[in-house]
Amino acid sequence: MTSIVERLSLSSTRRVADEKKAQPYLNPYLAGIGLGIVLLLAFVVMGRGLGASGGFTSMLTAGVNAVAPEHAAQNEMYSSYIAESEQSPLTDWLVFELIGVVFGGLISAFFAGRIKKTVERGPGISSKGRLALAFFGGTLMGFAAKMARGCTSGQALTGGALMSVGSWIFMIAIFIGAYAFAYFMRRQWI
Amino acid sequence: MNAPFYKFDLFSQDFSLLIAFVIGIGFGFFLERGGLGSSTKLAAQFYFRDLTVFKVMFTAIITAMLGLYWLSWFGFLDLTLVYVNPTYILPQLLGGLIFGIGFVIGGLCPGTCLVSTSTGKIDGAFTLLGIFFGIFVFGETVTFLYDFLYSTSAGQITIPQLLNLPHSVVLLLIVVLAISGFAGAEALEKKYSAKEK
Amino acid sequence: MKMNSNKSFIKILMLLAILFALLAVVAGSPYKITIQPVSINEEFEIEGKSIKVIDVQELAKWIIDKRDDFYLVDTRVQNEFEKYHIPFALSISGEKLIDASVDKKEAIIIYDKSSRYSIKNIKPLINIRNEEVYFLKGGMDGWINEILFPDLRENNNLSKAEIEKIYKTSTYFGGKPTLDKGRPKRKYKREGC
Repeated sequence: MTSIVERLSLSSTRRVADEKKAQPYLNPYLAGIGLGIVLLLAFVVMGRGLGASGGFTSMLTAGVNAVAPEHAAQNEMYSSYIAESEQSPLTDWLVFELIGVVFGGLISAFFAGRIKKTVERGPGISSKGRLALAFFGGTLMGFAAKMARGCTSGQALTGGALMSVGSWIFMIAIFIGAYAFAYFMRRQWI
Repeated sequence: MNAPFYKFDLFSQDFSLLIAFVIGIGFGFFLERGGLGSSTKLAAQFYFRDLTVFKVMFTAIITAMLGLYWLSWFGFLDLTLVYVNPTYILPQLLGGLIFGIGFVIGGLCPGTCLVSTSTGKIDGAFTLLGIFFGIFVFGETVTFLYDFLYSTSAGQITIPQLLNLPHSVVLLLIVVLAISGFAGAEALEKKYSAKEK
Repeated sequence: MKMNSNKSFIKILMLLAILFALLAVVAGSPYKITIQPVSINEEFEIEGKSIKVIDVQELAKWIIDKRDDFYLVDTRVQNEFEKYHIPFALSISGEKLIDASVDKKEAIIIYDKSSRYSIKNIKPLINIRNEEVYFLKGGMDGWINEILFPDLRENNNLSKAEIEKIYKTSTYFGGKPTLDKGRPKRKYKREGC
């Protein structure tokens, strides 16, 4: 920690650089163990694993239900997410879990000095292009996640640990699809 | 045997939502710790520069897998009460391929894009919006996809059941595979990061 | 410096993982409850006691005929029992208990979630009772799919009388058969995550 005198004598740019100095990431294996323990805890306490796409669907369902309830009721996907009881689709385990994810990420980033407004991209593409591709990639993933009944959190991590056949098929297919298409995306990233 | 706690009535559904929040915090925390909140880091995986995704994911899988086995073996956890995702071969195969393509285009997955958005990355926010849109598109087209969606169902089947091998043998195979993978990943990173320079 | 100590720490952890996996192969199955294969068509045995098999149609008939010479026992956890149980069932855990003090009847019919039975659930019962024991083939899943919500749409080859009977049984227990109504209502289930 720099002393007050030293701080005052630093130029403003340097001060900013020091304060925003991000710490290096945790060793991936250690992070993986931490994640694995969280996943295990979910199994032990709830009898279920983690997830993400289901929670997003619940949120979307709540939104659609608020704006156009008749459409939600007769649509097969939305109606299955609307519980028969009075409870809102937002009282869903995954929704609360996702809210926790936001806070968890925030806490970790805060202590590591990694909160920063930015557009992450490779050198070969503009911010606008990156954002457009991000949206498009997200669309494909959202659609595919519903088709496969899960995403990397729910199927790959959870199903992977449970050795579920479909989950491993999904996981391997993700790697195949991503590596195969990586060539076409190299401008965006490297 | 008194775990999974929820399935043994140890607390109410409302409390389980609080648990969800706490577990979510842990989830998000370790995702960010490992650097998975950064799309450039995640995408580097597919150019062999930085195989963090593979390392984190598979370390988590074998940790949880070993934990499940041993907690169950000691009689603490009832493995049969843990929900196993049902298998639908074709939809999950095709879904995985499409997801993979989307992943390398977007650079984030549903869980990590939340972490990315919350830590200020605008591309994370756009990926998040895209995911909502993708789910919306799915909802509108699900009627046409119905037959495909429910085809090739195999029920809740695990790899040991499929191959008719003992649970622990498959466990060992996966652990060995993962660790070999890690060794390979280290070698690949060395090779391709050097190229970058 | 830190990187190196980190590296060797990781290496130790990886070795531990392999060690635990190897130990697991030696230790055997993690499933403490013995899970039996799905299809049971005939008598089987648990600790010397012969267990007969009864199907859901037969059980439905026994209940409709108001037979009172048997106990119906639900071996699932209390949670599941309270959500729904077959009418007149007693729980093996929880308030409506069946234990040694209850009057003797002709038979005990045991059911679980499905055709998979768990010895752990059945054993305590057969040790303290000496009625004839039956296991419900199909279990609660079978009850729900065949009795409560049977599929009576056109693509079956049942006679009118049979359809009538299935329909009546279903409504007797408060269920609802699936009938043709123009486009069959296909159910989108929320699965996975």
